[in-house]
Amino acid sequence: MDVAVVGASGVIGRQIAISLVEGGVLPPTSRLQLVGRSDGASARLLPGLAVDLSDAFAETIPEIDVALESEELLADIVIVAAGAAVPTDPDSPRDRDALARDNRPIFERYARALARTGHGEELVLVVTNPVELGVQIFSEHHPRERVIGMGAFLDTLRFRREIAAELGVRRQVVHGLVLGEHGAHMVPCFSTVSAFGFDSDEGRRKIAALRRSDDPSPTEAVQRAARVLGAEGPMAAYRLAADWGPALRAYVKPYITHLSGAKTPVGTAEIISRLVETILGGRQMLAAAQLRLEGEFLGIHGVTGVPALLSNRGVERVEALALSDDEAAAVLAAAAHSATLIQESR
Amino acid sequence: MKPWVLVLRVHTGTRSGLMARVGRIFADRGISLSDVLATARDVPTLVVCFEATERMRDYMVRRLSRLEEVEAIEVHASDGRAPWEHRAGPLGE
Repeated sequence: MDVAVVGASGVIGRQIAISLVEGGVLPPTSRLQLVGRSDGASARLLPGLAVDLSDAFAETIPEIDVALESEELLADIVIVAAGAAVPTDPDSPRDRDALARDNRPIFERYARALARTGHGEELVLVVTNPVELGVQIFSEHHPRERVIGMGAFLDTLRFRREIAAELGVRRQVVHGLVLGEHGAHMVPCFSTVSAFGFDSDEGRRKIAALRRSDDPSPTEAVQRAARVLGAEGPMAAYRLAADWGPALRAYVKPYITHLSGAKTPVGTAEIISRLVETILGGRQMLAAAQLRLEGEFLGIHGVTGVPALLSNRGVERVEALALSDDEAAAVLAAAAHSATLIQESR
Repeated sequence: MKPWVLVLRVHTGTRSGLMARVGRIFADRGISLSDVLATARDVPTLVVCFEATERMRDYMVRRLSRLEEVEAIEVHASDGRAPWEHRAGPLGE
């Protein structure tokens, strides 16, 4: 199968391309398309990246194809990583509304191109933020069950990592999902959390104790972390976050990493790469992902993060999940918030 | 689904495995090739016959065009002729 990375010259897109090749996710008989714009920096960067990848991984590298026009987009799995990101300068924040206005034309351009030139069965993985807007726009031009937003997938793995750190175990033994928005309205669902070795009453009490009611709101936490980062540096900001619970840390720490200038390319790329590996291997994965719903989860009509069984056909089904009342209410609120964001970006 | 014939004019450079790469492009999308003709004589040409929707046929043409060895592609509706008969004409003469 062929994989395209749209925005392959950006920090995240480039790392995704590297991870796919370095990890041997794409066999030599497949093809990796690096997609950029002929009028942007990518016209210079992408041919160089293609050669650099070939030099580094000549033994196993798939076909590398550089596409500088949206009409050349051609792949079975399309990873959308193009567009603006939140600035790394904490003194000039760009809110999600502005990000949505900036990135809407990019989503539109590639969604229309895919509708014109694709075979119709492509799987679209949206990484660019706001991921909910990307899912909405691509699903207007492409079957919605084949458009998957990666935000909740990333949030879920970050949440599990924070839970694992608290329990003193590795992430792979922790289960649990983050639903809702990929942003301040994300919904870490403690009702879904479990861990191997923690199935006793005592173990469940330890997990329950990880839910913190005295944490600040995500928005306030990010503002405080940004202030500390600006004044004292990233280590002080991470120390501040360490006092908060795992749910809030899963939201704030990536922000600190992004604002530090390191951004989050390695973690993001590695996680995307694993999902692509699962899909290419013909396997299925239960994951949280932003999907365009038509009432399949909590009666929501719109885009939000929900549990779903994913495969190379896209969304096999949205999983019914018994959430607590407050989690369900938070997911509904997140969906409403995303609907407003999508509407106001028009 | 309709039967199609693609006539690819190719250049056979130093890179081996063109047939494998072309075959993989069809196989990855679940398309079986009903006839194949490949020759490096005169004008190196590859003729492939398969069934697909028009949309998938268009996709395959675009996809095959991205192979560096492929110089031109003609799309023929399948009319019962043998694959070597499709080679004659603008590409073969």
